[in-house]
Amino acid sequence: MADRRRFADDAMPYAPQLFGTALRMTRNRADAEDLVQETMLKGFRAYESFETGTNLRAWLFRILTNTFINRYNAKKARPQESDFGDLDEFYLYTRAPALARRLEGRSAEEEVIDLFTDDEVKAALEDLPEIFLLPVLLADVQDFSYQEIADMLDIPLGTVMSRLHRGRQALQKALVEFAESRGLIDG
Amino acid sequence: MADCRETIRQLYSYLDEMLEESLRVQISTHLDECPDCQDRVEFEYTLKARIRARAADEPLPDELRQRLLDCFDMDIDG
Ligand SMILES: [Zn+2]
Repeated sequence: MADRRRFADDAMPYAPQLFGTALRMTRNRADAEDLVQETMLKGFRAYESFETGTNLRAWLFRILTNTFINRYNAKKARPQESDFGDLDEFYLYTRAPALARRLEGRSAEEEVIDLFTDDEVKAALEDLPEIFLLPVLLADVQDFSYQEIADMLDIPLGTVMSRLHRGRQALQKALVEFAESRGLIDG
Repeated sequence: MADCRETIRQLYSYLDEMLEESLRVQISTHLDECPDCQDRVEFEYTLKARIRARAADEPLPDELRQRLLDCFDMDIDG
């Protein structure tokens, strides 16, 4: 059992991560602020039920995710999964040689990602269909395990895995489209 | 012994450390011998790391921080 009076000290260090995730989820500052406030207030009120010694960060992200799904979700139309059509493996990797030529000697295909601006990376994330967005944000941005994500989203582990994998392909496809629209590679 | 096809199929699970031990060893053995697959693994790994570095957290606006602290105070008294 956790002491409510300690909540601010224990939970506030996670606020910037929660806020970053909330921004990607809602794609809107005011909504993100409200989502974080609602998450923290729910956490504060339920803190007595938090088992000390278990993972507070995962507990807070679970509240954030559920609050988002129940409340903000329906508000904004997101691209549908079907909009992405066929996705291939290694969308970005297979196009990396063309991009790497733009690096003018800095070479290393790994640095291809540096061609993209922060805003492009964030926009590519934010534009993911929701069923991909949550697994990608939780796994790749916040480093939760498949099992933790399955618990948060209340879906089977295999579903987390397949959505995450497809989500990564969709994210890479979006980045490739930014590269094409900036003329970095031929469309 | 895993081949390129199997390695590519399992690549994300390998990166995420989700493979059971015997399969993980097979993939890792293949990677030691196959520069092509190794390239792919490194690319995906780096991509994941860079995306995380760029999107993980956002500075908390001061007024949001204050709003949160205020609402804890109010809630504990009320
Ligand atoms: Zn190979």
